[in-house]
Amino acid sequence: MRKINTIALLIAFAAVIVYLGSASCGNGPGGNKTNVAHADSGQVKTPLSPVLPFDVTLPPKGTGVLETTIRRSFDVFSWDSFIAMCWPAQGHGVIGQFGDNATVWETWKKNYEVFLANGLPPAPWDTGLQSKEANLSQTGKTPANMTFIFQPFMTGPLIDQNGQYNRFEIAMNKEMFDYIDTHKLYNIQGQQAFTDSVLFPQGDNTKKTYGAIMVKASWKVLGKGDDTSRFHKVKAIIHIPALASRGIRDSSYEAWVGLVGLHIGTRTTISPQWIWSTFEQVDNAPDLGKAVNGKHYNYYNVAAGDKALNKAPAQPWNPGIPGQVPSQVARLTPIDTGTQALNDSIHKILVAINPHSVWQYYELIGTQWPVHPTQSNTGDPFPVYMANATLETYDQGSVVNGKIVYSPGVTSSCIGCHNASVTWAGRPSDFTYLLKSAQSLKK
Amino acid sequence: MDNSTKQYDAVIVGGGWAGSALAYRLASANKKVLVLEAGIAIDGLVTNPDENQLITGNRAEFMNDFFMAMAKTPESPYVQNYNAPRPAVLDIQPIPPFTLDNPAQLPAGAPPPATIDCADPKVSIKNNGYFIQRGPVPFGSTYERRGGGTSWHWLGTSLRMLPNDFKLKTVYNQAVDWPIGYEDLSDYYDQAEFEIGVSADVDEQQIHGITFSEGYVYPMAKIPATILDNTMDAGLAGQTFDGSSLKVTGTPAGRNGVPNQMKNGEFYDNGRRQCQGNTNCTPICPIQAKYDATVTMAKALMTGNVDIIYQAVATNITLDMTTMEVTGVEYKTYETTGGPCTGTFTATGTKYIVAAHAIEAAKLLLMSNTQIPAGVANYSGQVGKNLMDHPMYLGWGLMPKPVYPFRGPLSTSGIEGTRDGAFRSERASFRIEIGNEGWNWPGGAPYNQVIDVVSPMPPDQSGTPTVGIFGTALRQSIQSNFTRQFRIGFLIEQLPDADNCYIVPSKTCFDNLGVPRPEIYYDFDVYTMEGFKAAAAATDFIFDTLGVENNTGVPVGNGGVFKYEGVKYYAQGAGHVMGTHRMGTTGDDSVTDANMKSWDHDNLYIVGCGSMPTTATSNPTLTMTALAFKAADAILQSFA
Amino acid sequence: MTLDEFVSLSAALTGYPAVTLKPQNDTQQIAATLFAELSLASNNIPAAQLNELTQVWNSISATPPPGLPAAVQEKIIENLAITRLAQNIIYLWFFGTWYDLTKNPNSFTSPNIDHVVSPLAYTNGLVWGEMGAHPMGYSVGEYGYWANIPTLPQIN
Repeated sequence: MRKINTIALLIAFAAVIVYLGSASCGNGPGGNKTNVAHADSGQVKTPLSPVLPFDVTLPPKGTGVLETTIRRSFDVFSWDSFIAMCWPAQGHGVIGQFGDNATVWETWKKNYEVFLANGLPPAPWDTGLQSKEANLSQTGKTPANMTFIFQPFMTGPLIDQNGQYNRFEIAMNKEMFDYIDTHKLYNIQGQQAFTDSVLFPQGDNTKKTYGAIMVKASWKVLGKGDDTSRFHKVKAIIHIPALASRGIRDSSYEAWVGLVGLHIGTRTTISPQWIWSTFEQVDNAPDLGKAVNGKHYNYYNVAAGDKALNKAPAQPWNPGIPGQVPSQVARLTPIDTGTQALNDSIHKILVAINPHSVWQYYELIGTQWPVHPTQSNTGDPFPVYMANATLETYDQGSVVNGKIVYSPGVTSSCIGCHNASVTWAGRPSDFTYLLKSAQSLKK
Repeated sequence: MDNSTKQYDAVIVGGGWAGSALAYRLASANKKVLVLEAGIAIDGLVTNPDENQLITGNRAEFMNDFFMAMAKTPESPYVQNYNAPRPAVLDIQPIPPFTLDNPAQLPAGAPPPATIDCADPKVSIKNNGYFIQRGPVPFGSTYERRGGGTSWHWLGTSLRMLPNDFKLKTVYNQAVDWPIGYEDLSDYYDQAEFEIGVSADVDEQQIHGITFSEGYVYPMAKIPATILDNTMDAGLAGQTFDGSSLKVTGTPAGRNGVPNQMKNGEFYDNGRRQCQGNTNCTPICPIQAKYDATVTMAKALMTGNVDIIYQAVATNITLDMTTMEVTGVEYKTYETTGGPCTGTFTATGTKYIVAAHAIEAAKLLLMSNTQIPAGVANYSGQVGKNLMDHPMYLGWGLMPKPVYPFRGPLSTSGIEGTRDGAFRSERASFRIEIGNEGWNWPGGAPYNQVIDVVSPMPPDQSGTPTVGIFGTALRQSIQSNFTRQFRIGFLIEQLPDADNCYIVPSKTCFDNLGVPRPEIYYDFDVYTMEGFKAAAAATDFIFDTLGVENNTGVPVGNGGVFKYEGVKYYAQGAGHVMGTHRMGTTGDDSVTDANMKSWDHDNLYIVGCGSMPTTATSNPTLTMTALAFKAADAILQSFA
Repeated sequence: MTLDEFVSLSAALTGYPAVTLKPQNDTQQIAATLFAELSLASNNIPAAQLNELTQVWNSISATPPPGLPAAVQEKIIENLAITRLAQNIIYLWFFGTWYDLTKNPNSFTSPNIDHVVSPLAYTNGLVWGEMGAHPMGYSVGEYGYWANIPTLPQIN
């Protein structure tokens, strides 16, 4: 298996399209070591690879510069991960060859498939991998069953320009699933009985092993004003919970949803506090004060003004209430210029595969990693703050008297927040809140 | 803003502790509720889309203000709002003619009223604070007026009251009994502990006759004790003071611990994070591991049955003089925290609930005097009277060995044995809170002590540079001294005193909206001062027993100074403001019945810490929440 | 004063190695943030005082480590013309605060120009870690850490 380094080949291959022979280049779950680079008819040649990186590849020790070359290494890791995870799941060419494609990560286990309501063991990894039907019932970033009564919405829903609520889902790779399964962490009793430290597998370049990967995806219901050719789309079952006071009944319907945000968390040897990569669809929101007149944003309306900027919607929060006021969202921390340059380069490669590739409309917002992993529990994360406009909309920081302020410990920081995650036994859960989704084993 | 035309089942004044609990309970039973909140909104807790145009605050902004504040007081995260002002600890000063050097000698009558220049409300509130303090001692407690109320900076202590606390008159011939007993509140305590999310151990809490229902477990397991707690526990094992055990026990806390399987078989989970020991419960928990009332208000709003109007200051309760029922609540609005009044409106409903802070609630009832000169709900004359707190005595020192303060929640353990005993016939009881924040409260640690060695104060107290320590010597000094710092705090019982402790709406001083500011008369009686005396003696005994270097002296917050039997004491406010609309058994000497319904007006309820006839020694929040649920049940039954 | 001079002087005044104050791969840029206080006009630092502190430091900074504290003591700490400014550098690092140079910080007289430099300057204050604790309001400890005895930083 030959791993192709995106950066190394970036420029050289940027505009080269070569048709190759046909054969399956399907990438199995969790990073099946299948090489795409052999010649197959009907295949597009690209420097992009379906193979997940094990870990970040850093500049030689002592030569890296935090803000530029080291950041670049992690950003490359993020993009390599994104490309491999969004690679066609079922052997249909290369990423974006046909515009859009069903992806590898969508075949991974969803949290609700691992943490069952009755606390029973989950079905084996291979069960139902081909199921492509998303069941997006969560209206908050936290799984609904993580909260006890009816308030999984501590920070508020995100409402798009059509008044539709964003939907979220969580998935994990085989390595992460296996760890949970093996150690019986899929129910409360199992977690209480587990007295070791929770330490998920870590990706390792030397050992060529994969680490745990978790994915948090954010979707919008596609509708009026949305250019559907700019989204990765799936058909999903949309759930509306009941709200008796407004005459809303519990119901579901089918709709096309477009991917607007993607968190990727990867545990590795170099970064035991995980590497946190976050991507967004490019039309989500403008940088603060940089809105372009006439441009359609998913979560910003130039005409609406900034009085309710980045504020949670009015209550009650229920996706079934008609005519809800859209969220007005701006990005408070612009994408780093080096990261943006990498985005531009990779977009060119994606366009080279297919000018209609939906993947050219996704950009890396940033990568957060622990710079001094052994220094503290959080390992000195950089950038200090990082937020996805669709997943941490209301925790990006605040605009106070026209100035952006960030509050350590409150403003979104992946590592900072996930450091507080625990199991049902109250012990550290290795930077994932997922385990708290576990239910009690019903006998 | 104008909800005049909409008819609600209940109008609640106040979006804090009691208001949130009541709104949630009533809305869950499908009642239509309107909440009027005087202060600003919290992000995510608005109901009218237009109110996104209003001022809102959020935890990140409050934390930023806290980080940037030089004096990290309870108020430091929460900026003053001149249209719904609140008191601040930095404003607690001796009341002229008394001074720090010549404090009030108690017991004493009220001093002649000092002249207060309050012509410019903003200047006056900024320079002298919100309260018009009449003394003889200043009232030391503060509160917040914004969505979530004072729950933003509560400590989290969630102790139940003792059975004897409800019958002080019967058992000790002091003050009055409550109109209810422990057994009447026991189920409501269960519910309050569930709503707040309390971490504690049932076995450990069964003291002084406290009982729990069969099979009861707290929602979460007890929060681990600190090194200091364990040091004190070991050092005080078997010791007594004045006949009371000095056993150290874990303090029930409204902070997230490890979930328990409750007696119904469910595992408790409120979806919020587990405590990370930020040592900052007061003034603000950065991660909301500590419960606050916005949690319950969010659930209330989620029902879709609650409207909430912020920046709406209730100023007058109107009556039908035939039926004596309440017909509406008039409120004033504003657009900015220093701007003018933008309108006066009336909210109407079937039932009315005043759930404002004890001082604000009393003030509102007394201000509502256009139809009844004595004010609404005030046939007894007890509205605003019997103002009480748990005045606190602080003792501090250095342990012989490191106890590593500034770690863990602000307080995790206390001494509860001193809360009840035969001595209550003679003097106030108290509970002893063990503080995990070194000398932060009494001594401004770590700042003041570091400055003392780096820039020693010159003899003339001037700004002349002096020579101090630096580098290695400074580091060694910090390591050896700060690791041994600790303090204890005594929450001293106070009895109702209608004649000497009360609030009235000022006739001369107003806030920026033109609403009267609270004028406060406050004093300590001999019963309470004997409590101070005992607290000082207990401090000496405890410190001697533990081999502590006693550094108790003048605290940084010294405005509550008074003299008793020639000895100076420095009282601190606990923030436990009680008694101003007390419940009782008759309308002659109490404001409400045991369901917190006004004796005078059939559709008016007054709910909060002001409902409490006596203070006991437990931090009152848990009891207030239990009372709010009791009132909610009564209100719901009254609709039937 | 340059940033490098500020960091080396700070190391001498705080007792912390320069690399701790300004680490390689500096994520939070605390040294630069605190250094900026020295050129903040509103801090009213007399130019002569800052110049003298800089010159004195440059004259002794090459002193071999065993003798350096004595030199700092004699030339800076005991020099009343500059000791107050040196003390403020200590406060910047230990608290993240700036105190009005014309007053004793514990005098609490107002008005003054005392201020916290930034939230990160506060959370990186050295005093907290020195005693095995964390800044009040900012902990990265795990649940229950407070029951365990912390390791205090090594003093050289």
